[in-house]
Amino acid sequence: MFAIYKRELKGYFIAPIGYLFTANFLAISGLLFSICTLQRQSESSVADYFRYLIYAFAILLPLLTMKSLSEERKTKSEQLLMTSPVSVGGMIVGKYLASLTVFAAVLACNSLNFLLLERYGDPNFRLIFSSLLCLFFIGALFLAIGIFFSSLTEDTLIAAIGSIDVIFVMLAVHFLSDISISWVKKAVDWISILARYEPFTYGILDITSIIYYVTVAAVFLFLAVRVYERRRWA
Amino acid sequence: MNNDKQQIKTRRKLKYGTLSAGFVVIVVILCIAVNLLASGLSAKWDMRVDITDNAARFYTVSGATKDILGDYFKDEPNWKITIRFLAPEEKVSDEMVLELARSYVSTFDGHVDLVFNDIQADPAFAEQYTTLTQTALTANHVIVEGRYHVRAISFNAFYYFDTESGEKVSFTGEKTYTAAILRAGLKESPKAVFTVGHGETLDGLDLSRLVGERSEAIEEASHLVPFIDSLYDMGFEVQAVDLNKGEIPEMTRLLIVCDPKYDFMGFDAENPEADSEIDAVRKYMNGFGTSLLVAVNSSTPELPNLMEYMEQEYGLSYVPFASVTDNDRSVKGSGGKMLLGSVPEALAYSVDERILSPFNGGERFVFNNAVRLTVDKSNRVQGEGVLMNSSPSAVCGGETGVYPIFAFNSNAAAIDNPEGGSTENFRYKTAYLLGSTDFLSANGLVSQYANRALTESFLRIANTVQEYAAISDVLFVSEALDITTGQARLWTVVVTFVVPLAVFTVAAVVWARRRHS
Amino acid sequence: MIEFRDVYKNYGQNRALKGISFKAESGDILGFLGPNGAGKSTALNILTGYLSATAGEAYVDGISIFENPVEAKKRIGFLPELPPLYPDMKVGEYLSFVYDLKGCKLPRKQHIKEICEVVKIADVEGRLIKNLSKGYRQRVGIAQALIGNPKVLVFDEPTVGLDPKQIIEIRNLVKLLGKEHTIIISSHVLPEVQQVCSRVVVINEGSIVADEPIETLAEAVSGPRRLIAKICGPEAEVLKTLSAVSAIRSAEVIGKQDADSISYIIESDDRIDARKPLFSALAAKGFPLIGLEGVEMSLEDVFVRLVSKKEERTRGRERKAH
Repeated sequence: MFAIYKRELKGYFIAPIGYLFTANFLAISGLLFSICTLQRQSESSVADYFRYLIYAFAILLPLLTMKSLSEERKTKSEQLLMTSPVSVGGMIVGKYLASLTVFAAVLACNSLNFLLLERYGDPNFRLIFSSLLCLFFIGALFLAIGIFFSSLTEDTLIAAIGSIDVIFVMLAVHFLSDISISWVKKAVDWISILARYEPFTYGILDITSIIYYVTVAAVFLFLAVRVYERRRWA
Repeated sequence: MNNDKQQIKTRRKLKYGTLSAGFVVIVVILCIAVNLLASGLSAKWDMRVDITDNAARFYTVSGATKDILGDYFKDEPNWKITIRFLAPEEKVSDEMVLELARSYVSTFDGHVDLVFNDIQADPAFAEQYTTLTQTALTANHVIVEGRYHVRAISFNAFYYFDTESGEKVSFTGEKTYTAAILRAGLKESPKAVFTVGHGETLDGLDLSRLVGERSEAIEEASHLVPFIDSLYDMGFEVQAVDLNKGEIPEMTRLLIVCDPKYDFMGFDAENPEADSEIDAVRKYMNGFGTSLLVAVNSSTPELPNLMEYMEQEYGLSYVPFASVTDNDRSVKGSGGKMLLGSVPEALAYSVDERILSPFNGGERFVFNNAVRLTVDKSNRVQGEGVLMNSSPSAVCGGETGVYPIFAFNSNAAAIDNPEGGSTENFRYKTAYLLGSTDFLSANGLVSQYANRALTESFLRIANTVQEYAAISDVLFVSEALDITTGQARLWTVVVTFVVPLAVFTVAAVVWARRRHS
Repeated sequence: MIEFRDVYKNYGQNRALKGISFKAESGDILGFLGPNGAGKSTALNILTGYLSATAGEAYVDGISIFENPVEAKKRIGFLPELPPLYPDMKVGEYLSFVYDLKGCKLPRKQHIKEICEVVKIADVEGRLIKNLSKGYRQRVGIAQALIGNPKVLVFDEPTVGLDPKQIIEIRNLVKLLGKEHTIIISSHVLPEVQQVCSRVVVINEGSIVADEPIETLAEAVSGPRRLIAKICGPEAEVLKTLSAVSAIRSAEVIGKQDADSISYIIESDDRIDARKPLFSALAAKGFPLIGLEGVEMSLEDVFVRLVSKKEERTRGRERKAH
């Protein structure tokens, strides 16, 4: 598993994809950051920035995972992995962790932006840190969705678009919570990624939200493993 | 062998075949179960971490509150408090007030419950509380309900607002909740006690009629005298006591000397051992008492003994018969006698902050027959202040100037810790001197002026069982950036273009170097 | 060392393997012969754990690939039909990755170096795989299979798409490796199997047609040989000359390609090489032989012969038993 993780990580940075992702991520998050804080001057709001960043993740993160499995399936190099003494689960988790590492590293890089806030104001770093932590887990969930879609098809474009769509649906569900039927509302709030992020915007780190993101991510990875097992059997 | 094969077959079925669909369902159910469990556990254990500012946390119940309420809950394990919001949980408009309530629930597990009632869906529900609390309830109220009392608190009471901009300056939620919980859980109501025996009257009512447990007289008085009605509204029981004959009851939180015509009895050379009236007042203020209100006016004679006490202990006094008038800012037709007070510009100290926080400066307060007060600020470390000033155009003794007409001073005394050792809790002892008895009369209270609101705000503070200095208000930290448009533009370019471009450059270098190998 | 026991594989309604069983002992080079689409790749993919079987058992070194895949896979080096390469990696990086992937315990640098020398890719170690020729890529694929020194090597059509020189090199390599490993090699080219294998399993339409030592195959294919000869000279004279050669059983004209030469198909007897006497006879008459080529037997022919040989033998054995 570690070998796959290592190769995958290296794969991101010997090919253009890793750099393209990094550059785009930094550009988009940088722009959102500027719009929400620097440009607003005295009305700067880090909470707004984080809220917008979640939407940016929805588009950016599938780009990181779209190739993970589908490309190998297309070039048949997956045969090497699947006939090596590594389980399918190990293979998928290895690839997932590689994408997660790249994402985390880029998120950390991008966090240097907050030093600007320190320079021109008095930011609350505890709040920034915990929001970043939560965003990391939301990203981890999105990546798991991306991995799942990458396992479904050998077309990287379909993998990317499919996961973007599903992530958007998961985000858009939040806006159904205005429905007046109370149990629907309750259910929507319970599954909504955004509703579970809400406490972070006013300064509460809710551990149940993080448990939610992690378990849902685990389910998607499990599904990806099932896809492979099924395909091997079919 | 056959058995083996069977086993292998099932295993393979589980892994790939028809059973694998079931396997997926099980994992999904497991995921839901884990999350439900987590939600369940979070109700029991605190799974929410307060990540607000470094210095003070918005949603963390501080040690001071734990000390205060913890002692009460230890003494009475069955003491239950219900914090009731008047909207469904997800519709409570103020997350901060709600979050802090959650924090109380998890800190005082088993003693504090959190309940949500939708008053929009069930208006009848609200009504029962409206009668109990005398407040028109909205979804922006929270009710703190104990065994003996119910308190309805508006969300606004959880903040201190900047009087000029109207913006929230600090979050005072912990004080508000702790005080309300104590208040709701205490059996006896705090008492407001009028002194009698010095010709005290209010709205023409001889206050000596209220001496003793003569409930009918008090009931009757509450209909006639708006100030007594206000006292009821604010949760006080009203009583009168002749300091020569009776003791000040232990639940007294506010001792009122209203419009005295004669002085209090001070030290008696003939009978030096006996407790004088002044001694009784001093004993009260040094003991369980928290507030003393003395209301005088421009026709109040000299009161040497009472004023000696007031001046020595609190630096408050008045100049007898020095009437303050104001021709510019006064009620028309009153000959300048009904002058309009204004909130002093600098709010120095937490007591005046809290009393005056509901007002934004636009309100007008009327003071009839005001007398000039003197406020001695020297040698007062605990803090003093002026709640209300005359306007600068006021005249007294031929001199124009700003004269204080409602002043106070506080001493803070450490609360005894029964187990010994140090304690960080303080109780404020505040004396108020009001330079216009008419302020409390029907003329003042029942009018278009804001006298009643100020009186109630003042009474609310006096009613707060204890003032704990250790419970601090949490200041909102401004996220505002001190950055020029030019700088903002420069940095925008850096973070959006320059940095990503650098990454592209690295990509180009790596690609070029590998391309031909 | 390798055992397939009654393995079935269905792709939906399609039955790719219809219960195949075979064994390969330690040290065998087993040829897996069959036309395209016969199920060779499917069988090898099942053996290496890439696919699962619908029914049946497969063992590597006594370990079931279905029950204990990780252990079984440790004992196999697999070169799929398309070498599983990462074009963006350098050869050295790639082999190092495979080394990690297989959890190899041998000294890394030395082991990889040795393999590179064996498969002759030491000179391209620092190059990107996508810049390599097809032959080199195939060798990198073989190198990958060799990492970890597995007991069993499985090569799926290792010579497809290579030029003749590369084919010979790969075949020699396989022979070399066969000294230390059990090898299964699939092919649809008869001579390849003949040259390198010690045993042959012939598979057609998902069933095993024959499972014989290589000698039997040699027998089967060494039936009458056919040659196509291009000879200048009058048709009748030439035919007469040809029929006079004792090694030639029959000769027929198959066509006239250019002005002065005619093509003949010549069938000789079993196990007799008719080329030398043919040349001498024509030379003696003064008819120039301007072209001569052997006609390869089609796989179908081989199946038919193998099957008939098999039947003959069983009949023979039965007779003996009587």
